[in-house]
Amino acid sequence: MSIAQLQAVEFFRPRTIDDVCATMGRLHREGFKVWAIAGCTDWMVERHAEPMVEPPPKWAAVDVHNLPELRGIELHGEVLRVGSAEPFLQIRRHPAVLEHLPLLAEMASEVGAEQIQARGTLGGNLASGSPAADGVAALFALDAMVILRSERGERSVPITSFCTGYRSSVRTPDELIVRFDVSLPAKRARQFWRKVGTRKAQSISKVAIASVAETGNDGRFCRAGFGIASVAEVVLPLQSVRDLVLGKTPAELDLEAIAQAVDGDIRPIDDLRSTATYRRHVSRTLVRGFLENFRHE
Amino acid sequence: MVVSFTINGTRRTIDAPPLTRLIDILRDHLRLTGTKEGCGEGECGSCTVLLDGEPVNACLIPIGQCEGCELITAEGIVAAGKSASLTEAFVEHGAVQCGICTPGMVVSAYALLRRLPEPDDHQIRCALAGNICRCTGYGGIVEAVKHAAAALKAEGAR
Repeated sequence: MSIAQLQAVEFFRPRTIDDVCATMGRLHREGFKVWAIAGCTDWMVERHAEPMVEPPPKWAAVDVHNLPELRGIELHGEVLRVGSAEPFLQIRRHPAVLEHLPLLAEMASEVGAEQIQARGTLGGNLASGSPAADGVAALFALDAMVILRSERGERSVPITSFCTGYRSSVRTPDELIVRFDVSLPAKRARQFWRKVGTRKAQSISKVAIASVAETGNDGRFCRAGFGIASVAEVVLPLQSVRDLVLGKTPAELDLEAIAQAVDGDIRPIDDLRSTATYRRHVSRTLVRGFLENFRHE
Repeated sequence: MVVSFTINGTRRTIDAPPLTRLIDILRDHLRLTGTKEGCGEGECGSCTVLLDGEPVNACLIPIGQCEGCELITAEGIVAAGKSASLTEAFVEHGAVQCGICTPGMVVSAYALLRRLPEPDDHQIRCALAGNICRCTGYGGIVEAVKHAAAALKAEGAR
C-alpha cells in the first residue's frame, strides 16, 4: 500500500469503549483486518512502506486516540494506571510518573522527538510489536499488567507473557489494549533507563534497557525487573538474570555469572543499526553496572 | 467525512476522506504551503504544526482525528506577529539556507518559547531535535532561538 491507498482503509470513530469493542468485533467477523489507531506515528509509516495491493484488501482503522477510558494517568493505592492512548509527552510530564516511575518518564523523553512524543502512545508501541520498542522495554522492567478488552469482556495479561514472537502476541484481533497497571516500586528502589542509539533523538535503539530493583528490610532483593529491546526478535525480560538476583543480597551477587546470564538470554543480530558483538557488550555492561551500584549504597 | 477544526484562529469545515494526511489538507485543500513535506515519515520535522498547542508532524496525522482541534501553522504564527522576533533572529543569525526546514523550526521554537521563555542551549537542542536541517549545522539556529528569547523578554519588559 502507499499513501494513495490509505483511502481504501475504512475509518471508524466510535465514541464509547463499548462501541469500539463492538465495532472491532463486528469488523473482525466480517473478515476485515482491524487496527485500533491512536498516534499513528508507526501506523502511517507502515502504510507508507507497504506495497500496493490489488484489489484493495478489507482493512479498517478504528480511531481510539481520544477515547476517555484509554487516556489519563491515575494512582490507585500502590498501582499506577496509565491509559494505553496517553501520549508520551503527557506521561513524561505527569507528577506521579516523575515521582514514582522516573524510568518511564526518561523513556518517554527519549522515545522520539517532541513531535513523536506528542502523538505516540504505550498502547501503540506494544501493539505494533517492534522488538526495538522503548516503551515495551520499560513496561517489562516494571512488570506491568496489560488490560485488554473486547466484546467478551476484560482480561489482564502480564506484559512479560504478552509477546509470543516477532510481531505476534496473545492479543486477539478484536481486542483493544485499554491500559497498563504498574505496581509502584518502593521509594528505595533503583530505576534505570538507558537508550543507546546513533543520536540522542529520533533514533531507533541499538540497545534499550530498563531496570528496576529493590532490596527488602533483610537486605535481600525482593524486586528485580528488566526489559531489554533490540537484542532479539522480541523484547526480553532477562529472566535468567532475575532468577540470579532475587533473594540475594547485593554482596552475594555473582556479577560474572550475571553477565553470562545476559549473554545467554539475548539473541542479538548484526543489522544496519549495530552489530551483535556491540549489543552483547552493551547489554552485559549495563546490567552488571546497574547491579554493582547496589554495593555502594 | 466532514471535519471541523480551528486553523490559525479561523473555524474551518472540510469534507475529505478521513485518512487524508493533515499535511495534504493544509497544502492542497487550504493552500497553506508554508508547511513543507520532507521525509513523509515523521523523521525530519519540516511539516511541524501545533495541534492543541503541541508540536506534531502533519505527515502522520489523519484528518479524521482533527475534529474539534486547534491547529496553528507557520503562517498563523507569522500573521499574528507572534514570531517577528523569531523570524528576524533566524535571518540575522544565518539560521536559514535552503529554507525547507525553516517553517518547522520556527513552529517548534515558538512552542518552546511559549513553554520556556528562557531556554538554555540544551533545552533548545532538545526542543528542535525533531527538526532536521541539512544545511546550517544547527549552530545558527540555536543562536537565533536564544536571541529571539532575549528579544521577547526585552519586549515583555517594556
